[in-house]
Amino acid sequence: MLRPLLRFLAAYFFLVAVACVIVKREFSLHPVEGEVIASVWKDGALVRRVVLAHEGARDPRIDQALADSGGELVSEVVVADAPILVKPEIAFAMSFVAGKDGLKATLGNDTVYVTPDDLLVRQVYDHGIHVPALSLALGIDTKVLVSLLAEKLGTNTDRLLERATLRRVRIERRIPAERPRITADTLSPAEVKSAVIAGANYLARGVSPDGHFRYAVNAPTDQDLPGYDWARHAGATFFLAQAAALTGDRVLTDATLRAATLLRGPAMVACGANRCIGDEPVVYLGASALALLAFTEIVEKKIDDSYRSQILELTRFMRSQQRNDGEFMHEYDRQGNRAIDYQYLYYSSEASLGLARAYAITQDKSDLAAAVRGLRNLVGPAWSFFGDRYYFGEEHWTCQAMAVLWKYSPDPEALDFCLRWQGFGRALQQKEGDSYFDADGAIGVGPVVTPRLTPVASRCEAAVATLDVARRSGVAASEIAILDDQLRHALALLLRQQFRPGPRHLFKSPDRVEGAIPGSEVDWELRIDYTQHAGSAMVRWLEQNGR
Amino acid sequence: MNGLTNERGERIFRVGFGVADLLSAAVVYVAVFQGLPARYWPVDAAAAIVLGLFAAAGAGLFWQASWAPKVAWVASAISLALGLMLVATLALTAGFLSGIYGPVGRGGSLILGLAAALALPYLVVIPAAQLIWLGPFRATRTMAPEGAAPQATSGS
Repeated sequence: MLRPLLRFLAAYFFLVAVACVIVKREFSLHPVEGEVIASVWKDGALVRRVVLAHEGARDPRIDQALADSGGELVSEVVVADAPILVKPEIAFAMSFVAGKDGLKATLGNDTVYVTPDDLLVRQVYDHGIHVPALSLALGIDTKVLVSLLAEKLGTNTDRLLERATLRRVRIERRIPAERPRITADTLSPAEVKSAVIAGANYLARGVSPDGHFRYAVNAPTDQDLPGYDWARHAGATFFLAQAAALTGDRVLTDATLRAATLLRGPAMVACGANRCIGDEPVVYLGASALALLAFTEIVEKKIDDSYRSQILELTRFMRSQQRNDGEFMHEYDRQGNRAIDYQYLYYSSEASLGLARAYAITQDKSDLAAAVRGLRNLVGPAWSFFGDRYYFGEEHWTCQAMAVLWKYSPDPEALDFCLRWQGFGRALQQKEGDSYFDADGAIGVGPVVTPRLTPVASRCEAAVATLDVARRSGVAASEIAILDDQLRHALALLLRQQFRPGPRHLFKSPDRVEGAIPGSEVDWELRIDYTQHAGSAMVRWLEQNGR
Repeated sequence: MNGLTNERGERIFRVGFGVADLLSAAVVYVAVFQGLPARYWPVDAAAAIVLGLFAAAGAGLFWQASWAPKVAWVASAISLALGLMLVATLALTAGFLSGIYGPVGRGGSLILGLAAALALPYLVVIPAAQLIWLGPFRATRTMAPEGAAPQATSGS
C-alpha cells in the first residue's frame, strides 16, 4: 500500500505542477501589434468609435464627429491579448485587470471592443463578486459587460455567449496632455499645496447654502448618491478649515463656516445636561469628537472665534462619556438620558484627539487629563492581546492625539506604539511593480484587489503626526528616513490619483469633480471623507515641510 | 512478548489515528462552517460528509467498534481525494491569477500557500498515512478486543 500510494502522490504533484505552468502560460497576455480604438467622447458619453489599423491613422468619421460634437478624441491601443474563460462565472469575473483590460468579441464578420473606458464610465470594475464579511467587491460585473457586448453586436446575451469568440485585451489609453507622473522623489510642497487647494475647492463647491456637503457623488454621471453622516460632515469641515487657514481663501472660509453653522445649529442637540452632535435618538461619539476638532481648528486659526462656546459644550459632553479607565462610551441614548457603554472603531481616539486639540482653547486641565487618559488606554489596555505586536487595525487617530499631546505630556509608549503601527503599514505598502495597478505607495492585499486610497490617506495622517514627534524626540535618523520615505510614496500616490483633472472625457461634468480623491483608481464614487483624509494629511505634511 | 508489543503498537496507532480523525473533523468544521464567510452548498455538503465520516471513524477507533476500520478507510479515501482536489484547485487558481494579474505577489501567494499548507496535513498526509495503516479496503484490519493481538484478514 505504501509504495503505490507514494508513487501516486508523486505523480499527482508532478501533474499539478505541469498543469499550473500550462494554465499560467495560456492565460498570460501575449503582445500584439494591436488596433487603435479611436473614440470621440463628449460629457461622459461615447459619440463615435472607429477601429483603426494603427496609430496615426485617420478616419473622416472621427473628424466629422469631432467637428459636430466638440468632443474629445481618445485613442486606446490594443497592446496584448489572451484567451478568456467565460465559465465558471467567477473565473470570467476575475479575468480582467481593473482599469487595464477590456474584451474583444467576434461574431461572424463583426468584431467589437469593450474598452476599459467603456467599463470605467459604467463603474463595472470591482463590482462583480461581493464578499460582505470582508466589505470587499472583486472582479467585473459580468452581466453589465455581456449586455454591453450584446448591444454593440446587435444580438442577445445567450447567442453572444454561445457563438462569439471572446478574448481579453490589454489596452493603453493615449491622451495628448498627461501631467508628469508624481513620485516620492519628485513630490514637492508646491504640488502638495496645489493638491490641498484642489481638494478643498472640490468639497467647498459641494457645500449647499444650508451647509450640507454633496456627501457622495458618482463621478462619471455627477449624480448624488444616497446617505449622510455627521461624523464625516464634521471631518470634512475640519479639512476645509485647515485649507482655509492655509490659503486665506475667502471661498474656502465661507464654505467652512456654512458647514460649521449647520453643525452647531440643527445638528447640535441636547444630550442630557450636555449638548452633542447628531439627530438620531441614539447618537454616536464620533460626530461630536470630529465636530470638536473642526470647531477647534476654526477658533485656533482665527476663522471665527464665536465657536468657543460650542467647544466648551462638546468637551463637557466628551468628558461625561469617559470611563475611569480612560475608555469612552460611544453611544448616548437621548431619550433615556444615559450613556451606552459600547465601543466602535475610531471614536475613542477621535475623542482623545478632540479633547487634546481643544485644551489649547479651553485651558481646562480636566480636558487635558481626559485626553491623556484616553491615549494611555488606546496604546495600552485597549490594544493588549496575544499577538498585538504582529497585528494592527485601521485606527489612525491615536497617533494624531499622541502628537498633539506630546508638548503637554509626552508618552514614549504611545510613540513606540505609533512607530510599530507604521512599521506594520510599511509591510503592507506596495512598491512599483508589485501589481498592474498604480502600486507604488498603495496599501493592498495582493494584485487581485484594487488598492483603496482611503487607507493610504488615513495612514498618511498618522504618519505625518508620528514623524513630527519622532523628529522632536530623538528617534534614530535611520528610522526617521524610512518613515519619511514611506510617507512620501503614499502621498505621491494620492496626488497621482486625485482628479486633476482625471479622465475628463469620462465625466459628465468634469469641472464639478476636479480635485476629488476617488475610492480607488477604478472606483469613482466620491465620498467626502476620501478627500478629507487625504487633504488633512497633506496640510499637516505642508506644516512640517514648508508651505 | 511479541504479541504484547504488537498489541501495544496497535493500540498506539488506533488511538493516534482516532485522535487525528477527531481533530480533522474539528478542523473541517471550524474552517468551513466558522471560517468561510458565505454558505455554498457544494463546499458545505462535501465538508459535512468528511466531517461526519472523520467523527465516526475517530469515535469508532476509540471504542474499537468493528465497523471503525471500514469507516476510517472510506473517510481517509474521500478526504484524500477532496484534499488533492483542493490542493490542485488552489495551485491552478494561483497559476490562473498569475496569468491574468502577473506575479501573484507576496500577499496572494502567501494566502494561497497558507491555505494549501493548512489543508495538507488534515486532508492529505493523515488520510494517506491512515490508508497505509489500514491496508486495502477488502482487507482492512479487524478491530481486536482489548488484550488480543489484532490482525489484518489478509496481507496488505
